[in-house]
Amino acid sequence: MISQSYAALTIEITEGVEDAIPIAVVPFKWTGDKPLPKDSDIAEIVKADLSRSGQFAPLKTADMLAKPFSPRQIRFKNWRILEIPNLVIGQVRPGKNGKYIVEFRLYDVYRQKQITGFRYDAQPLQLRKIAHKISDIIYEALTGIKGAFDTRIVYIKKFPNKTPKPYRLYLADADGYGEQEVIRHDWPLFSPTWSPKGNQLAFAMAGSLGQGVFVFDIEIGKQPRRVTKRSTKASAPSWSPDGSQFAIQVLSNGSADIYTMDILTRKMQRITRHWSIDTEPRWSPDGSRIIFTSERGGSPQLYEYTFDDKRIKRLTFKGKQNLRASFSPDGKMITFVHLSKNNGYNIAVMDLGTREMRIVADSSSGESEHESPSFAPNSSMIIYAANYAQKGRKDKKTGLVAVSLDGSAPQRFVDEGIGEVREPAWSSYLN
Amino acid sequence: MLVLITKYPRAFAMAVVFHVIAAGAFVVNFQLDHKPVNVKKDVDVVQATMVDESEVQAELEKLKALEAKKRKSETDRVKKLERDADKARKKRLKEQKRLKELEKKRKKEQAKKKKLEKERKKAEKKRKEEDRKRKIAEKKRKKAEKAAKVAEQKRLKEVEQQRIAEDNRRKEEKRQKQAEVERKRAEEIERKAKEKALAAIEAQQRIDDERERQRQIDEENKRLESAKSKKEGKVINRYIGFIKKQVENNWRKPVTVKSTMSCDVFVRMMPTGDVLQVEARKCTGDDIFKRSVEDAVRAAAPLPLPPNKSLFTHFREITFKFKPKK
Repeated sequence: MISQSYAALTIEITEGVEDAIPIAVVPFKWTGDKPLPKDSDIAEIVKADLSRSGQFAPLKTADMLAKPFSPRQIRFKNWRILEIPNLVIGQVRPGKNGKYIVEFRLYDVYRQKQITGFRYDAQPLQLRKIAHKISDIIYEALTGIKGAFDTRIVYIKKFPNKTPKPYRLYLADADGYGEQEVIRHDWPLFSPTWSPKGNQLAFAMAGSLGQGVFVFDIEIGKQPRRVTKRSTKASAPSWSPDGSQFAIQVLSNGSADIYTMDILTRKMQRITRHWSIDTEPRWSPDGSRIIFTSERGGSPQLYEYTFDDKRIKRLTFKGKQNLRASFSPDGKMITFVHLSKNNGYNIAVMDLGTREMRIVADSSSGESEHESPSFAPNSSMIIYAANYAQKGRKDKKTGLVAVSLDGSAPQRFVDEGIGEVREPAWSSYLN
Repeated sequence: MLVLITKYPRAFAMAVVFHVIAAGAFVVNFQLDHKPVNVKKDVDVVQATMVDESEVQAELEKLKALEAKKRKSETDRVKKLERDADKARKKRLKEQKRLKELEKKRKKEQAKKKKLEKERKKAEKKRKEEDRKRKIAEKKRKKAEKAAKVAEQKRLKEVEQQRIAEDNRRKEEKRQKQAEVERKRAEEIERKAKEKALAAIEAQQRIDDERERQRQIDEENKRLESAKSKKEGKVINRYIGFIKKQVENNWRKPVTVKSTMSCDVFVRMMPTGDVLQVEARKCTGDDIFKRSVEDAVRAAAPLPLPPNKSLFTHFREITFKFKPKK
């Protein structure tokens, strides 16, 4: 709509574009003598973080007309000309006792003013974490959404050729760096999951002596303890939002059903009662319901149990199979594996309000199979495991992929040629 | 009514039967009035005369012949008389016989008449009985009719009463409608009065506005006229479209944008199309939204301007109204 008042021109703007936000992250100046620790280029880490989110388009370093690192060096014209509205500069200086001083500033190019800026004292091993924190601050300042870069992931790896104990549980930063083996075992490890506070992990283990759910404290590093009774064939744990209970799958008389269990008293309550398989329970963030996978309709589909009315409703109707659901932390969406007509295992997201489903990671080409999706704590990204077929080889290559909710910019970041990577789970906010 | 209808045909059938019997009795009576005629009994005797022998003989012969003729004639005459008498006697006998038969017939007729009379009387009696019954039936029918009539009258009375009630109701309704119409009319009058008052105020306002607008138009017209062409107005509009498109293509809508957000961005232009001043005014929405709309204009700059530099005056100041649909 264009309206013209005679005093001054008025033009109405209703449409816009959903392009990624351009940003320039100038390499941080290191003023020390010795080189920085490996993989600690802060600007590179920040660029990778912002890029992975799918919401930012960082300028290539090679395209920069200048590389300022202090406020006085900035010539805004150099960035305006490139139509870059956001500029990040910074430097790293040697601090006391082998520490580092990291400083960054975010500028509004058009207004020629600083939006935000911070200085950190960092241990050498903390440089990457500081970089993720900077990413979080920039992300929130420019999108209004809390960043989820300074978070962690847990996943399982299986090494078919390594014996003994081919099953390993790993922790890593959200970008896949700092991988750390936490548990190894002869028995298969399954379904690692974070406690609501992010200080504990639960997983399931199955073997000749039965199966059960185990929990351990991340920081303390004690042996995992079995939380389900030795006689109970439990697996697929999901924490209640208050951390006091688990929703689990229990195998009894050949039938798999969903139960809840109080962690302290071990008192169990049956949720589903059906001869077919009910599994993969996920407790909703508001605690009101549990979503699970069931074959009661003939093929695996997602169902929802509501605590209020104790009723079970089917959630998914499209596609051959829908399984392995996970809630977005804001409770508005679920992500799950969707088997389409052409047999591709895709990652889908369903808006729980509108019940509309869309594919965020398409595998219809048949090159890869996607599994085990999990939301970032800010509900704006999804991590999942992918199996890639390899040319001329029977075994598949596996890796982890992060994708933004609009399906743009999928990035593989944990690539393991030897072992199989499975079941990633994104932590909650850690600070 | 049904009862009456079934009764009438029976009474009617009875009446038809009676009349047929009465007609038969009348015809028999008329034949008995015709009397028989009586016949006379008188017989005539004839005398003979003698004539000469030659002559008389002839005469005699003649006479004889005459005599013979006479005798024969007399004989004939007697015979004829006898025959006639016989004939008469036979005729009389025949007549007597006929009379006897007539008498017999008469008696028979009389007996028949008596019988018929008896039957007639019987029929009469029967008719009277029927008549009596019919009268009773008639009476009954009349009684039923009367009862029906009474009922009908009662019903009519009720109907009439209902009609009156309905009439009254209608009258009441009409009265209420009338009252409503009058109330509305009163309201309408009041409303119109108010409107008129308001209209007067508004009219004045409009006059003032119109004057102001006219002043602006005049001013603008002066400017446009100084541009000396309507064609130039078209050019201006086309460039407004170009500018709008360019700003929209450069507006990165934040993910968090809502349809409730809006922002007026005031822009002061340079003749080159660059922006001299960009200022968000009257903004609802967060800082990220505010910044996104300002940046949209800045990123869109330099904005396209008509090649005719004399038209720049129209583009010196632009207000962009950002109203996201999402």
